[in-house]
This record gives sequence, C-alpha cells and structure tokens, in this order.
Amino acid sequence: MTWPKKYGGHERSFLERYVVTEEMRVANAPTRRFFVADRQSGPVLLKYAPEHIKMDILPRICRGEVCFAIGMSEPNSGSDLFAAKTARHQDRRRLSDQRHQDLDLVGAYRRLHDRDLPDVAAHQGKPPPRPDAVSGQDEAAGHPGESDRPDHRPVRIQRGGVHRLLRARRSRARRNRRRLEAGDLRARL
Amino acid sequence: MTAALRFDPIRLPPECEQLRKEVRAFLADEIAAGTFDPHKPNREDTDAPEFSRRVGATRLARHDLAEEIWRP
Repeated sequence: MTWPKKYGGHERSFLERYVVTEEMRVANAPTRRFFVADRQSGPVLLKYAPEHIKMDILPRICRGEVCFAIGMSEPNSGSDLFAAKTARHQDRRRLSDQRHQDLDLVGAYRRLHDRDLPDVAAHQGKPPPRPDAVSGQDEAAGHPGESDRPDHRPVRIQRGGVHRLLRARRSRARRNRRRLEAGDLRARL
Repeated sequence: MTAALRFDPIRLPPECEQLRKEVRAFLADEIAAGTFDPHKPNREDTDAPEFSRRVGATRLARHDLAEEIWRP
C-alpha cells in the first residue's frame, strides 16, 4: 500500500493502509500468507536491503506471490526481545541463543512448499549439522553436544555503567578459563 | 495527570472511506466465491495463496480518482 511505485507499491498513505488492514481483519480474511511480508519482512528489506534485492523481492511481495516465514528461536520469549537471553560468546565473534532443538522450521517449509528444504533433502531428512559446533571441546567440558553454549547470564547495565560491566565480564572470563584448564565441569564454552 | 488525556474522535479523510467501501466490496466478492468464511476463525495452517495473489492484483482506486469523486 505505502511502498514506492518503483517496487510495485501504491504510494498511498498509512491511514489508507490502516483501513485495508482493518477491513481484512474484521472480515477474518486469510491474510496469513502475505501479512508477515507486508508488515514486517518487507519494510525491513525496504530500509536495509541492497537495491538489487529490493528490485527482486519487493515487487513479488506486492503481487502477493511470495510469503515470509519468521522463526523466533528464543524459548520463553517469543517476540519479546527484552526477554531474550541471547549472549555473545567469549571469543567475541559469535552470538548464540538458547536454541529450540525442536523448532519446526523444516516442517513449516515442507507445508508451505510441499517439498523439503534443499539442504535438508541433502541430509536425508536430518537437520543439517550446525555450522558453529566446535568439535574437540565437548569432552573437555563434559557436556557432549553443548560445546557452543554461551554464558546465558542476563546482562544488566547498572550504576558504574559499561566499565563495571566489562570488568565483571573479564573476571567471569578469567574464572571460566581457570575452570576449563582444571577440567571443571562448570566451565562454559 | 490522567485528566489531561483526551482522545478526540477522528474522522478519516474521504479517500479512506472510499477505499473502505472498495475493500468491503472486494471481500464480499471473495466471501461469495467461497474463498473464506468470515465467521470461522483462521486456523494455524490456513493458507490462501490465490487470495494473496488476488489482493496483490487488485488495484484499489487510485488516489487521484478518489479526489475527483470527493472534491469535485
């Protein structure tokens, strides 16, 4: 409704978009297929995507040809970002959330497209291996299969601000390193 | 200071009300064609790709047309 005509939009006002949305909802219309793209994924692309991706995807959203599935993997949080406990790994290059092992993205894709995700098919129906799994550290931590668990303690910024936060983080890192070297099972990797 | 909160009733601009009529007409056609039942809530797996395409193909009245109608 409101997007630029260049991408297939109608350049109409947000009030007009509101009217259409309201009527669709009141009538219980089956908007599920396009609503995520219209309301959420499309605007993100509109703001952040490179031009060639916008030209590729946005017109197809406007024509109602593509749909978006969004997966939120944070347990007990859903779309509530403040409840997320996603943490940065101590090597500072990786983020990790508390994953739902049974998150049914694979099933969702199959229902939408009536075929398997490409790399699922390649793995004979098993989910593909997690690319960031660190082998060789499982035994050291004594937690097989949980080698990439981050430190899930929620971060609270308090008086003293970032410096105190960094100090606390460094001291946790030191303690963790000691535990790891001593073979302590409480070490977090 | 709750007493200071006031919500003035708003009236949407005429082009919105015109658009509302068009959306209602479109939805009435869809309901008549059996695309969906307005009295039955959508289920988790409700999926209507053809409806989605028709919504996309619908060129609801253009802005300037609405202006012509409402501001002659």
